[in-house]
Amino acid sequence: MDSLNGTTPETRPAKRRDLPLNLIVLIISYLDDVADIARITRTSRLFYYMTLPRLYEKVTLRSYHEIRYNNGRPEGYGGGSPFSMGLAGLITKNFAGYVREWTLEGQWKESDLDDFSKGRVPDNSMMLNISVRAAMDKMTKLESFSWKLDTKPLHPIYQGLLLRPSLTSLTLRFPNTRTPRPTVLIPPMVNLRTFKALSIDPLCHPDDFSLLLLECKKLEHLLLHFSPRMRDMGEPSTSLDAYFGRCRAARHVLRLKSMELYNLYARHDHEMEHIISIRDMEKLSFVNCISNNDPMTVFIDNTWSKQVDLKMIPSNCKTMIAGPPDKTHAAMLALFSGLEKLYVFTPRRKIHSRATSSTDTPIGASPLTPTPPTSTTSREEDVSVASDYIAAITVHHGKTLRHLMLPDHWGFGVEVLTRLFESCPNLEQLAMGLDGSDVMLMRPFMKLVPRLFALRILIEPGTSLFDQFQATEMGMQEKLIAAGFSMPEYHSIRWLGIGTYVFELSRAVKTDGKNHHKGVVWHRECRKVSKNDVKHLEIWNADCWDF
Amino acid sequence: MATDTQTIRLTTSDNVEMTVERAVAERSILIKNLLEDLGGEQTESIPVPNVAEPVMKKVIEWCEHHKKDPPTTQDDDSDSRKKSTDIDEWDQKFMQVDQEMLFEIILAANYLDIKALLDVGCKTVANMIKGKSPDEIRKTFNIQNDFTPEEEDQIRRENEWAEDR
Repeated sequence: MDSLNGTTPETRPAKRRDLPLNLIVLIISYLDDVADIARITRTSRLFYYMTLPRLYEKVTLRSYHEIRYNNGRPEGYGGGSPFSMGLAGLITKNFAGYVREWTLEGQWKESDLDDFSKGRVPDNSMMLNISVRAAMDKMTKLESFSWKLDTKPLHPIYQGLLLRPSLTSLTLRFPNTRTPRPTVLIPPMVNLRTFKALSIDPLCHPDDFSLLLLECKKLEHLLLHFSPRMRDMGEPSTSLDAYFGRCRAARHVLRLKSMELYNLYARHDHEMEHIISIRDMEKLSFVNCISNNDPMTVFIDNTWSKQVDLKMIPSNCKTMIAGPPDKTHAAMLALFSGLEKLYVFTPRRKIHSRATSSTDTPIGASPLTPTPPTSTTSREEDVSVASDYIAAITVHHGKTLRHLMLPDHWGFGVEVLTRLFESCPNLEQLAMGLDGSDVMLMRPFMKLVPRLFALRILIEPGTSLFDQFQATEMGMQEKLIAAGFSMPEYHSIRWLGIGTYVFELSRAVKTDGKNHHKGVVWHRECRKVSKNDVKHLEIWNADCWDF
Repeated sequence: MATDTQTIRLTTSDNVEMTVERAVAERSILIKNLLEDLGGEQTESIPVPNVAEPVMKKVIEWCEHHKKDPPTTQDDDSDSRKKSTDIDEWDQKFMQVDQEMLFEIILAANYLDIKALLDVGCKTVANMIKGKSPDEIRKTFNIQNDFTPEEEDQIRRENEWAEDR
């Protein structure tokens, strides 16, 4: 059909007109997948130069243990792996200057591990570090750097980061291998605002970021994610002093806007509230950190429970993520007001399928353990915790709350729903369990929350209800939902989650069907969508915590 | 109100005269400004030299449907971080036309200055080229390939990281 070009038709609209360049640029601006942008760079010289800056704005290089195949051909056939070719391009060509966000992730095949035991870094690890450094030195606009390879960054990388005054965000995922290797005292990057450390395990030689916490005075966002090993095994191998000790010694108070802690298993330190000012914090996450219900961790965790000091009240907090639900947390919620987003859930971990070699630190195999009320908590205790939460939410946070997630095993009935909806008129996103999971139960109260557009009905895995919904025939679910959600009360709902499924509902339209008794008849379409389609909605990602 | 359904006339590039409700035609900023500049009652037909009748019909159909949209739908805050290529269902159906017509609609929206329609059109094309090979993209936009095969291969290798799934 493109053989039509060449002759330029003037009046006959039947012949195809081409779009001017500015409109093509506008179209390309709507593409958000780098793969599409990469294919556009290959179409012609003009497009190559035009789209290259966008392609290199955010670069993610992934490394793999095995060769991956594309239509039977190894990736990188005739050259190096996409990882090394990408790195080579960044070093030898002049597009590193476009990079604002750079992520390195995946598996790095470390050879000559024996060298480590002889006190030397093997060449292939060193070469990697040198190459990354070489590329980094050309990234004059680098704002965000993430290292998530399963080997550690060494001195050259940190030195390189120091030379990047534009850098505001640093993410490090530490490997979980116990092979001896050098640790680095991470130097402070003066303009850093966000620091995330993932999978910290003191037995796996994580680098020391305590100086960074002390010296980065602009730091606003801190995320510490510990290896789940310590909680799973009840091995308190770390103490908070290892990270905050320098701040404590210098009497430096961290004034953060957000702090997120995952899998922390350490004794409460009396000085914590003097080191971190919680009062000004806007976002707090505390996931799988304290649980009074787990006999394995209760002695250490108890050191925290005793300390609800007035200084520890996050009176300016807008967003809070917490799990598992806990009486202390519920009590804390009742001490301030004004939360806009609250997510409470029961952390469950997926099985890690990868084989753990002998040098790896064991990742406790807790396969989808319904940790919640089972072991030592009784049903009554669970109910009492739940009602503490409901009371705190309805009395203190209802007016401001826009997002709410409550644990899946709390199935609420009509009475609680009424109270909740009446006190939270501004809800936009809601995730919760239901008594019997009948969505229609909510119908009478939907008018109380006119802005609610995302609703996620949680069903506890392993329950009969879960299996039952899972077994419902494909296509049937959509039909049932479309019919139910055509009712005017549900028209604001666009995204609906039930159990593990997600559905998108179309806008309601009046149908021609005349139903004089009931008035207008509405019609909506329902479509099953992937989790990817709702990843921008917090109630679908607040409980993804197993990084 | 008396002026509720005031109409105006448009003459398309193929000399067809169309009568359109004024409020509908004013979705086009070009026509809206023109009417304001002329002032008062507009009795003469307005020439639209860049748009042919079949295309104009489609454009009017869209404007009719979106007559009551708020002027700027830009900051729909809560759900605003949705995918950029997310298109309203009615618009999706509306845009199910052949590529020739689709491009004509985009050109018309650009000329008539109807931003929302231009956006929908561009998003539709963006969705069309998702996952397409460079060759297919060239065909869509009528782009001449001026790379040597070696050059193209070199670029493919350098940027293969971006196509990682």
